[in-house]
Amino acid sequence: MAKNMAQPLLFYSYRKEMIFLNEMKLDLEVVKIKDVQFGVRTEIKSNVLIINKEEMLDELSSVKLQNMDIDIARPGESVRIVPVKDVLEPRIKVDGDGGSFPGYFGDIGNCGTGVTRSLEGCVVTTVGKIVAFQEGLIDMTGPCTEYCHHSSKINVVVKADPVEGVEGVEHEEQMRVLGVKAAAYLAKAALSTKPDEIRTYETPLVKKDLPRIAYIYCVMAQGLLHDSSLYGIDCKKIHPTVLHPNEIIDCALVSGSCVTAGDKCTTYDHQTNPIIEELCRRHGKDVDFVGVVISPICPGLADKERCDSLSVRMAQMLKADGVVISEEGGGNPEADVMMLARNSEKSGMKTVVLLKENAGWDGTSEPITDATPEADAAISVGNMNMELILPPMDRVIGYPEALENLSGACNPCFLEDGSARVTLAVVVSSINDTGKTRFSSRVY
Amino acid sequence: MRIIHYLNQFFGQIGAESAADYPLEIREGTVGPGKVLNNMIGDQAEIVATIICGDNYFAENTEEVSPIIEGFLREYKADLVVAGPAFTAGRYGMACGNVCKIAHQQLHIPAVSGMYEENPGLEMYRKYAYIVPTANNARGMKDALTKIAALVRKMANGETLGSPEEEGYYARGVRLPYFREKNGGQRAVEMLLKKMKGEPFETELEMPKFTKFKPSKAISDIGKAKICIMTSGGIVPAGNPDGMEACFCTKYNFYPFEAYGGTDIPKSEVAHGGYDPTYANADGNRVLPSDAIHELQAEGLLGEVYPYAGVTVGNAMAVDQATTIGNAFAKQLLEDHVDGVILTST
Repeated sequence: MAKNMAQPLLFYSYRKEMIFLNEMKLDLEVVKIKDVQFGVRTEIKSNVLIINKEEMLDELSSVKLQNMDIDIARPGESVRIVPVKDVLEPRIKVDGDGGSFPGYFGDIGNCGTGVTRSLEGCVVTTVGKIVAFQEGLIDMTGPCTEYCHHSSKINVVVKADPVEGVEGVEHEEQMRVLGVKAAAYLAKAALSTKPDEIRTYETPLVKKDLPRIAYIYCVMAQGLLHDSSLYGIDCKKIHPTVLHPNEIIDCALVSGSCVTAGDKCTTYDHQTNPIIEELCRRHGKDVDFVGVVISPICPGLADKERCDSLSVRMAQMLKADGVVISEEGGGNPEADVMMLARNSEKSGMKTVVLLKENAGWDGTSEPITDATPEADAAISVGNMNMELILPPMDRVIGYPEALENLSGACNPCFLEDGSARVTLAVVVSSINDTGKTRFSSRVY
Repeated sequence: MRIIHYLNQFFGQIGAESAADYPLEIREGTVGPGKVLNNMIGDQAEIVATIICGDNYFAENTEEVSPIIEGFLREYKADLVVAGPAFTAGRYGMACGNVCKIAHQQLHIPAVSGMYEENPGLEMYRKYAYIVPTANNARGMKDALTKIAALVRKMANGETLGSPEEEGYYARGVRLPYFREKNGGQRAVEMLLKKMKGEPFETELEMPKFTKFKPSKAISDIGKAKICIMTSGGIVPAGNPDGMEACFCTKYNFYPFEAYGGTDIPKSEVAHGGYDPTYANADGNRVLPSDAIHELQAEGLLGEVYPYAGVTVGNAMAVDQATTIGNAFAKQLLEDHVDGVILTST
């Protein structure tokens, strides 16, 4: 058993009910990165991340990938990254086994507890030949930046293409692991520097009667390149699972989703989930945050019913009085969210759902495809059908022509002056269902 | 900014009710109330032409006049349309609303009108235009034109219009982009706490009420029935001839099986951007089961296979768009006496 493994403890809660509480405490030591440059040694000097490109490429090499390259895109530069597969923040355990992304390169036992270091201000972005239509773009300047939080980070872009014969799911897996490897590699540089800030995450036993809130976190498990992995395991293969919020912050969830870019969660979005941040912040003050239930979003009805029943039951076992339910993707996932809301309310738990909209380019259409009266408290994270004209950029990292094939590009996409007509669906994380941004809709 | 103004026979100075059959026409420059409006708008915009049509003529020939009006708007390179004001006149209000809808839907340009609150054109077309409240008769003309001019001036200056309350137009009932004060995660927790405490809260997305349809009766004699196969899975002829979009698709078509290289559809591909296309690119029958339906027909289990496959891409399509496409499909199927449809989705 790992030295720092959290011990499940038995407590009597304020309500004199016996509950198990996995008392985890995570110190997230944040190193703030102000610039990224190539140099002779991979290290951090005065908050500048220096990358030895040769060494990093060597570290990332795979017999199944070719044309590998690393590039840097900074906020404000006239750079487009397309087609983007995933975005990740480098994070690494300082104690324990010193791994990253447990299930991939680290021990699962100490995930969510102890000390983790992160590089804030920079992200790893993976790009390369398109796996499927469902990938996105990040522009570092122009109108895209209003809707894309990745545009404000220094993007360390890792580009790679599959070798011949590597296609579909295998291509996706290779690119996913590439992103994880790259983030793990860069995070190591954080070990030999001092953090700028330490954020402590814990949800200790609450000794007063506060509203008990659970978070039902829907994640893509659709197959066909719309997947997520929990501790390295494909979420199609799991039942709903209870997690401590710290496990998410400590990189337990990795995106494997080539679903429409706008409304998916990148790995970065999982690592920095704003619902978890807010519930942790308020824990013990006016909220008792009792835990996270990961609920896979499967395409078939029987699986939807299974995940709905088990997720709601788990929220009940956590003795939640209320649940926040967030969607990922759109269309059939709306059925999951509605089932969860209905079932939770019928089980005596109040609900709030977070939904994205497909309300038409002009906002005149019904915004969602499934509804239930119980979902009477909904957060809108915006209309994915909204159109944008993206001006051409001076430099493109990746494959510029892929833009018109992205899910959510308009037809015709490229205009005479080289601008591209697209919907927000192509902008990575723009309509993120975890409510990452202030973007929303309202009735006019 | 180039403005086109729409007027009926009365305000277009053709005549009163007796001239309500006056056909559609366009004139350069302003007519009637357009002169005053043009002065109020100022230098940033100009009424370049005026469309006039009799109220009865419009009502009785809506399908014919609509594309002509669209043509006028394109020909005169309109940046904005003003229709009316129509006050309480019902037929005029409907015509004004229709013109606004054409401007909005076909040209994606803004439209402004003025109506009395009980004008039926308001309820029908409020989504497509900024309609300002007016008096119930033309004695309120000056006031109505002042309100219209204020909105036009703002837009001509490149400003984005604010909310209905701020700007004084009737709420349109459309959902538009809006940045709130806090992020979605913070808002979700706040709303949940209010709901749990029984305090009032305001949802950001009212649950829509969908129209439920009763399924038709079962086909009594399948051996004589004409069956069509359709899909929202985007199986298109190789090369995607209509350029169907991978997401938010605006196109649909009935493709003859020859377009796919025959009933085994060897020349097909996936245009849909919501699933892994590997398997259906390898064999389109996996989504659009043309081989199977034709086998059943050969075995005599079906009367006839409709010679066209109905195809669109259902990926994140807005409900209104899906309704429009569904209606168009249904119209043709009814005209061609199709008895049943096998509709596959992905």
